[in-house]
Amino acid sequence: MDFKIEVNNSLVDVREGETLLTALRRQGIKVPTLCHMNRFSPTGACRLCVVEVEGKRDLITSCSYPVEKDMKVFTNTQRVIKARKLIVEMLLSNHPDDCLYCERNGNCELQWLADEMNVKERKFFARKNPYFPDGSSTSVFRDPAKCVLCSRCVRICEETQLVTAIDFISRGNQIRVNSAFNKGLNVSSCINCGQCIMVCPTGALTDISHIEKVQAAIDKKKKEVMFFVSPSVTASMAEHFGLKPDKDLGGLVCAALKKIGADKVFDLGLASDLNVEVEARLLAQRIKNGAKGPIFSSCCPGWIKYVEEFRPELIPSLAVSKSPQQIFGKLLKTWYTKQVKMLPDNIYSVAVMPCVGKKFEASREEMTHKGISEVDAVLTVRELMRMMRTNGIDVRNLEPMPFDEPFSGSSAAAWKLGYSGGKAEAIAMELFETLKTSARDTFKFSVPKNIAGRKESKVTIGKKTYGFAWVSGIERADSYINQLIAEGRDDIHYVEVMACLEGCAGGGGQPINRIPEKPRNRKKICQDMEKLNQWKTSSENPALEKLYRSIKNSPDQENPETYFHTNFQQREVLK
Amino acid sequence: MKAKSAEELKQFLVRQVLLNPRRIDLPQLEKELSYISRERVSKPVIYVGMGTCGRIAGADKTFSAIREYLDDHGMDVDLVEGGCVGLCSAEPVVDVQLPGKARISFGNVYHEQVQHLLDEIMNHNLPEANIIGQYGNDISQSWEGVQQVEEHPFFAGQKRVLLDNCGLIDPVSVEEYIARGGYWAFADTISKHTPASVCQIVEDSELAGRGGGGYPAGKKWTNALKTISDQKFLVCNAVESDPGSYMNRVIIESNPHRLIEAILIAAYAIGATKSFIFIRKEFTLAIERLEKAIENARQYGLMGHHIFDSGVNIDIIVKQGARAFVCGEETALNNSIEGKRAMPESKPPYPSEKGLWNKPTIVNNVETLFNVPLIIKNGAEWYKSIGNEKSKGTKLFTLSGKIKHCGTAEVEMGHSFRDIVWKIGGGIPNGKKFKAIVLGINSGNYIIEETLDTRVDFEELRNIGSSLGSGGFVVVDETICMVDLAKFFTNFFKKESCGKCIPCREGTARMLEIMEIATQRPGKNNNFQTLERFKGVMQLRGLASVIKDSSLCALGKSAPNAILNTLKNFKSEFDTHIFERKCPANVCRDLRVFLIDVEKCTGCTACYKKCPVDAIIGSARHPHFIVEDKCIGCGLCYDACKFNAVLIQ
Repeated sequence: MDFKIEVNNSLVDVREGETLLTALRRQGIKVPTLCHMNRFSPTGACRLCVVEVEGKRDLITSCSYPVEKDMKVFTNTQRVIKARKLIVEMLLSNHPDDCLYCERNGNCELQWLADEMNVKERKFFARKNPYFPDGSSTSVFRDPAKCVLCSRCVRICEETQLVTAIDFISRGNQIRVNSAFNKGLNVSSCINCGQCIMVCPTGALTDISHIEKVQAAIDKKKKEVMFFVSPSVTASMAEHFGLKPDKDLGGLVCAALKKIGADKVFDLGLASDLNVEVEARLLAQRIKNGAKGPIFSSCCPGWIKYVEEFRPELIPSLAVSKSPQQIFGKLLKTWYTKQVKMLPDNIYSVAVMPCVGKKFEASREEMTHKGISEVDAVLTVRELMRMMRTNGIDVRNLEPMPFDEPFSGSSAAAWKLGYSGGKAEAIAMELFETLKTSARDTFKFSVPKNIAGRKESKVTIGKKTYGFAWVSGIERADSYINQLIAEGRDDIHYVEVMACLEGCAGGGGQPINRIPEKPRNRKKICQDMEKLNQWKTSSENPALEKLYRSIKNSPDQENPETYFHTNFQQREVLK
Repeated sequence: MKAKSAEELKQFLVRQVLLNPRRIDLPQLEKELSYISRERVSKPVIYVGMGTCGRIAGADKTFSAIREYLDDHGMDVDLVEGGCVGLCSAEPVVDVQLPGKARISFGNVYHEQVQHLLDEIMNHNLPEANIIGQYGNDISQSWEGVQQVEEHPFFAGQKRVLLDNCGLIDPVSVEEYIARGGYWAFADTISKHTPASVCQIVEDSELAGRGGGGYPAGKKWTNALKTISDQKFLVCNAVESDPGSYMNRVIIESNPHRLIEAILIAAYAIGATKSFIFIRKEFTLAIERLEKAIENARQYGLMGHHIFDSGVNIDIIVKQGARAFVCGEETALNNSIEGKRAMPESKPPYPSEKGLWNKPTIVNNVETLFNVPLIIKNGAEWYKSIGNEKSKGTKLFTLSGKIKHCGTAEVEMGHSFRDIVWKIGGGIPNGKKFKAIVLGINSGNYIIEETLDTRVDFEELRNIGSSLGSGGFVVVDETICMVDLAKFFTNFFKKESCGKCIPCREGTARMLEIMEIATQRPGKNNNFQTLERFKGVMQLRGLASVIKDSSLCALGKSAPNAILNTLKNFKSEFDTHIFERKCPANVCRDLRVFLIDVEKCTGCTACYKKCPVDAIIGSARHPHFIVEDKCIGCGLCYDACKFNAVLIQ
């Protein structure tokens, strides 16, 4: 602590150069904000964090003002409270006021603010925002009428994701956030990462809901509704409900889905193992062929769309493996249907994912098999929880149920896919198993070198050393790749890229809460679950071997090597 | 005297004048320069004031009529597109300078008067025209019975320091500017002064920023000079978008070289190698002249790389700003130059620490910069001798509104506002009563009858809750409704709000809605409307004070000024609108009710024909009648009646 300032007549220690807001929050003084985001430079747009400082003529915004020696700050004078209240009332004056029908009802920062500021009547009779919602995207639903123009989504899209699919258009009180040329998100450069949904304080940005679709399929007697649940969803549920890894977490989710009406609930872990195995095999081949440059992971739909739109020159370097979701979808609709002698039409496959981009991935053209989509619906963690609420299910009072066969059982690698860096490690372990020269070699992942969020690690196999890197957030990934190219590095062999910060643990489909849940905690749960697993690498999972043999022996004579491959192509979008 | 070729002239002006330390001691040089500057002429010269205001008044037509006349008569006359002398109400202005005779200035010369004017003047006779005055001096013969220009009431009270060349010279000609002492200060700066000493001179002169705040320019520069950075920028803020102020445009149009010189000196002083002039796109003529002037100056080697072998590199880029008032706010301006949306950022960090591309950037107003060459040339002491004890120098105002002499005037600091209105401005026409002066849209309190004796001085204005503003000077008389004026300004701010911060974006719209309800036509038995009106009016003051208190930038902070002013100084007028539903000045259209005086009405049906809503009934040659329920208060009947039979109730 460098010096003291006076806050509400008591002395407070502060650090040189920090903003007033940081100092006040450390003291536990609540200062309302709408536009403030950690790690981002302050914009000072919402003016809710105003405080009174002695000697200043006007109120100042604490989010942008640095602490100064001998400053006297008052955070709750009548002047401050009056200003804050009126600002909220102004925001509400043209808000649609349809809270009861809003996705974020009860979970909305504007509602909380109105409550905190004691807003009890409608002061201004203004016309409601006349904007139409944009439901063109497969993943993200925008309702500009509910937007409070805090610019959080714009900033995260531009600064963290480098996509700038949405920005402000027009000005004055006609200003709104919109996609390029007012054409809808589906033709914009949006990569469907859903980070904008995560930061939106109101219901202006939500996911395209599949709940109704899934509910309708459950009601249809002819359809067998089959859920498959990503391990990271399990981790999110555990974090949300405060469950400890000593419980059978997967079993609880499985039981919940069964109660909702699922005919079958599978574990996605096997597909994760397959994905790791396929990518590791591709990497081993590439190393054997002596090709230059790293290969990039391809399981993140946001990252893939970004490459297709902005960096098409990287497409040949992408691992051509399908993502775990699509691997599972394909397995379900082809291999499994033959096993149980069912028509693929009668299966309704629902993926439960921590991601909204997966909704887009499921709708990709190459993700259909003979005209039937491999994955029919994708539920995010938020949607899963809403369905559980609707069906009156309390996770805490459930008896765990085992996942359905034949896809149960997965290795530690499946959990590793749930956070940034996990997949790179899983691939490294897999590669090690493939290339190791003697049985006495032990896998040793060097301590990651962290350069501004990009991490690099090395693995020595035999006499050779292989470099693995992982990076999350498109901006970081893009600059890292530029750096790799600029420096002409050939010591990195595999780069894991996740569009969301912290990987799937910070995904766009994760729960949004008043007290934000930390991706770090979800990662911790994944890591705890890993340790409980009996198989450390993907290929240790005996199901893989069986599955490959079965595919090879099937009447179609499919090549198991390319059975889970896909392709990518350049995309023209409005940028 | 032998005529020089362009290259010889350039060599002469650069070697003998700019780079000559003994130039002022040489009488021969002075004579030669007076020919270049057209103080002495060997053939007649006609100047036409071709500023934007002149062109609007018809200077283009006058100019072509003069050209035609000269061609027809085969006269060898220099015809010069000049700048603006400042007296807008006398535009188009034509000056004639005959060899050996004093230059004489005529006002309101429309194209039809050209024939008579030139017929007479070319024969050394005084024509019948609106003579503004003559520029008599000791090297030429004066016109008999013609007043000096300085004796004209509009010019008599002024102290023309910044406007000295405006209207007198060919704006884009670098030769003429150098011959009149221009760029001398810059040449001396790079040969004699260090950047630190330039900053010191400006600091000693106590030059205060003219953008409104009055922050000392020298202090700003010294801080920027001390900041260590690989690159610094200087930005000239020429986004003058206040309703009712246009003096920056006038001085750029009339004397662009002064601005260029000032920017060169300022850039040298803070160590910037690149400077921007951020100018409104609508100032097409100013941009055109500025670009021409920059091109001319570049040919003289006055900017670019290694200026006059001194090792100084300065480049000037003219950047056109899209139509937005908010660009005048320095952080928004910087964003706009960078190619981003023109939205202001919260300060700190100030642009002088982190401005354009996060480099230290000094943003100065045009008028502030205009002072700089004069300060360097004449010294800080000279500058301090102008003005009063606290505020130094002069201030430009654009007098407009209900005033006799409209135009750009320059007054010494310390002048009282009463003098400006009644002496320089010539008072209010038609003997109407004075109501207020609006000093620019963002200046705070209006100057009202009680505060008219305030002097033009940063501190005195601050004491009455106002500020110098940007230099607008709109005089309001009793024919203007203050509620309507407040509505106009609120609407302006609503339209110009960038939409970034909530108080300004939503608040201006809400204030305007309340003002609109307050001036809406009284509905029949509409209790909800009445409730809404009273509810809105009750919120108005609180709303306005919160917007003023919590907005992000100066635009938002000044948006409620008009309403707060009206509520403070013209409360009774406002109340009449709310409670009695009447507009005392008969301006608010929806509150006007017309009726026809039966005694006076002749039944000419002129009003009947004009009425757009068929609210007037009656037959020809019989008195007419207005149906009040149908009337929309447009006032067309009032204008149409030749017998003053239509009255406003």
